[in-house]
Parts: sequence; structure tokens; C-alpha cells
Amino acid sequence: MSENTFEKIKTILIEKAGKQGDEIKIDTALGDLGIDSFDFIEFVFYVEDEFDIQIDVNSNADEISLKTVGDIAAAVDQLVLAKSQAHTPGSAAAA
Amino acid sequence: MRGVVVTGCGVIVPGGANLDEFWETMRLGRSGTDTPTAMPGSKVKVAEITDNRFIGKLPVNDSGLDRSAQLAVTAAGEALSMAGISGETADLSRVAVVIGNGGAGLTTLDEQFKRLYADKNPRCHPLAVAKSMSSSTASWVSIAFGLRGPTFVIASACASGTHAIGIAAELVRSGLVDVAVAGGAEAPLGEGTIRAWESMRILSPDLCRPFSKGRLGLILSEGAGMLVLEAEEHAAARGAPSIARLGGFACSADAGDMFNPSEDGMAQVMREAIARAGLCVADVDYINAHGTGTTANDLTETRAIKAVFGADSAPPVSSIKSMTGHGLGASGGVEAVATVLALSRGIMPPTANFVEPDPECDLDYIPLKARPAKLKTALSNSFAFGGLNASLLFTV
Repeated sequence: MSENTFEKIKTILIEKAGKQGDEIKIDTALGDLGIDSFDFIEFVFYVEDEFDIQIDVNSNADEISLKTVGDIAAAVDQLVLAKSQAHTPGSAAAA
Repeated sequence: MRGVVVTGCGVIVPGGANLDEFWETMRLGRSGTDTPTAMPGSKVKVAEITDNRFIGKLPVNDSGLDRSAQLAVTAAGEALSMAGISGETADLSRVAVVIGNGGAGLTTLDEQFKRLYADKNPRCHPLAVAKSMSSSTASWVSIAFGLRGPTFVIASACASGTHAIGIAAELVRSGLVDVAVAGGAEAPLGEGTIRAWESMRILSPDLCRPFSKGRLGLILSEGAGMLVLEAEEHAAARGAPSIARLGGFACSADAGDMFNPSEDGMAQVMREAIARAGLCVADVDYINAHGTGTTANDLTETRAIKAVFGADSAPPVSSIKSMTGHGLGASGGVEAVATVLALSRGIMPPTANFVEPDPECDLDYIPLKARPAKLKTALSNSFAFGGLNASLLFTV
């Protein structure tokens, strides 16, 4: 994943969720940061806003696959890439 | 204190524009049609007003009423007609109007904000204030039918309709009024409100499957459900048949979490509603659940029912939100109507869209098919965001 993406997500966790920077690593579980289910939905909202993407999450699903900071960063990179491809003139998605 | 009986019911929901259509939907366990929204994958349930008898008489055209008021007047008109309440049968200064809604006027606000901020049109509609006041639902019911008793709305989010019926019953019981038309009305399907709900990630992308394994949340909806509540002696004096008796009402607050419901708070109101009717838990034959289809509500409500009734002795439970969708503040009114009809018509409505049991939700949820039963006593539950709990106990 991109270092830039990780840093932006880390900033969201610090500024919006009040977490300490030194406790946020790529493999840190969001649960270990004290982020419960509703904190998670709010966190996803800020991430979507920052990257202008839509992350597919349902609070009622048995298993939410985005468990670590790295999971979120990887999902963001994938969605940002898909979005840029969709907007590239002449690409398969745009055609 | 006076006994309180139900002498009229009225309803409008998606899949049921009046009482008979509504009950046919319940009896057949029909989930109905969903309407796509502007958001990909998102859908809602929309009611269709087919009976213009009541709103057609109002001194304004459709643009003068928020949709929530149109739904409220339509359902209240049906309930008052069934009850036979008019200036000839009742002193209309002693008829109350108590309507629950979470945010009536939301559709109007959405439209006006779009004009201001999206269309850059600086002028608001001159009736924007009158339409967006949440109390306009109650005012329009009062105006439509000439009801001059206490008239107000109650807001307790998704428990609003249940609180409204319970408080209205207390007005009748205490002698402050003889009759009340009470219930819930909500029309929250403007794009702004839908997007706000979507951001909580609790809307189901397919169907609403309360208590079922694989449930993914709720389907937003609209509608209204109203009861006419009447002092027993007043109904008897004018020879009006009683459809059911409202035996007990209880409400409480968790004073805890805004979103996560409390098993104790839910159990408390069920126990108190039963006790206030002078009954015991073994007397309850059926529970019309809040049953939103979210993980948190359905699991907590199941645990609360088991705490009250015992794990192996709970009566059958169903959630009609599987068919009507979640009409927020309207839902308590609509579900009270369903509970009264279940008692009077001897059929427990099912939980539609149920696919398989969730090991943690292990009660009898009347899956898929309505069940005939001779019922004497039934509870109707509502549990709202903000930790607001309410339960009504009806008997026949």
C-alpha cells in the first residue's frame, strides 16, 4: 500500500478519533485502538471523505474484513485506483 | 381510573393503503415492492395514498401539507370513521390528538434546503414553516376532523408512535378527555434523510429479515397508523363496539448508550406494561416486536423477551417491519394497529423474509407464514435510538 495513504489514515485517527500517533502502525487492529462498531462507521466516513471514495461496509454483516489500519489503507488504494481507471479517457471502464 | 378501549383503527403503509389492504399484506406475509433511491444499491418502501376523502377536504392543496401530515390525516380519517366519532357522537372539545413522529417535516426541509443550497434559489416556499413543524401532523388531524381537545406530537424517534398511544390512553384514563386519536406518522424519504441513514451502514442491501441469520439491517419506509382510544363508559354509552382494550403502557429510558439498546430497559417496559394491566407474563399470547432487522436490536430484544418470559416459555414473536419496512416514528402506530387486528381477527402476522434461525435468536418468530390463533393478550414493543423504550399491552 502507499505510504501516503497510510499517513493520511493515521492523521484521521489522530485528529478525528483522538488516537496517539505512536500507537498506530500498519498492523494495528482498530479494535486495539478502542474503536468500537460505531466509532468504526464514523472513521470510515472520514476516510471516504478524505479520498472521495465509497467503502462497502454494512454494520450488520457477521464479519467485517477491514480489521487493521493496513486493511483500510489497502482497501483505499484499491478504490482510488479503480476510480482513477474509471475516469481515464480511453480506458475499458470509461469506454 | 377509567378503562380504555380501542374503537377504531386506521393505517397506511407501503403495501397497504387502508386497513383491509394492510391486513391482507400481513395475512399473506407479503414483503412488497421496494423502490430504488438515488444511491446505487439503496432502496426504500413507498406508501401510496389512494383514498383522498380526508385530505381532499382540507382547505389547502397537496403542496400545503408535508407528506407526513397527508399520511396522518389519511390514517386518522379511517380510524375515526370506523369508530364513528363525529360532532353527533362525541363532544369534540374532549377529543385529543396525539401523534408520534421522529421528524415530521423532513421532506419539506429537504426540498427547501435543495432550493437554497443546490439550486441557489434564495426564496423558501411561504408554507415551509407550517409544513415542517413536526406538530403540523397533529394540527392537520385536528383541523381535518374538528377535534378541539389537547393536540400535540410526541418525539421519541422510532418509539414515537407507541409513546403517543400510551400517553393518549393516559389522557383518556385520567378523565382529561373522553376520546383520543393517537398513533404515529412519518414521511422520511427525502434524499437527505435517506443518505443520513445510509451513512450509519444499517440499511439492508436486500430485504429486511428480522431475527433471521443473515439479516443485514432495515429498509426505510413511510406511513401512518392510528387508533381511536375511548373511555370504556363513553363507548358503551354510544353503543360503539370495542375492538380491544388497552390494558397497560410503560415507557423508560436506558440513560446509557445512544445507539446500543439495553436488555434491561426493554425488559422493564414489557414487565411494567403487563403488570399495569393486572396480568402476569404467562397471560401474554403474542408479542409484536420492534424487530428492525439489525444485529443489535434483534439480539437484545430476544434476550429481553427471554429475561421476562423465560427462555423456554416466551410466546410467539413477529416483526412486521419485514413487510412494512421501518417507518421510524410511524412504526409504533402501525404496529399497534397490527397488534389490535391480530387479537380481533385471530391471526398472528409472520416475520417475512426469514431464511434460517440465528443460534442467538432462538424464539418462535412465526417465520414466513401467518398463524391463526385464539389470542387474548398481546404486547407491542418499540425501542428507539437514544435508549427510549415503550411497550403497549392490548387484550380482548
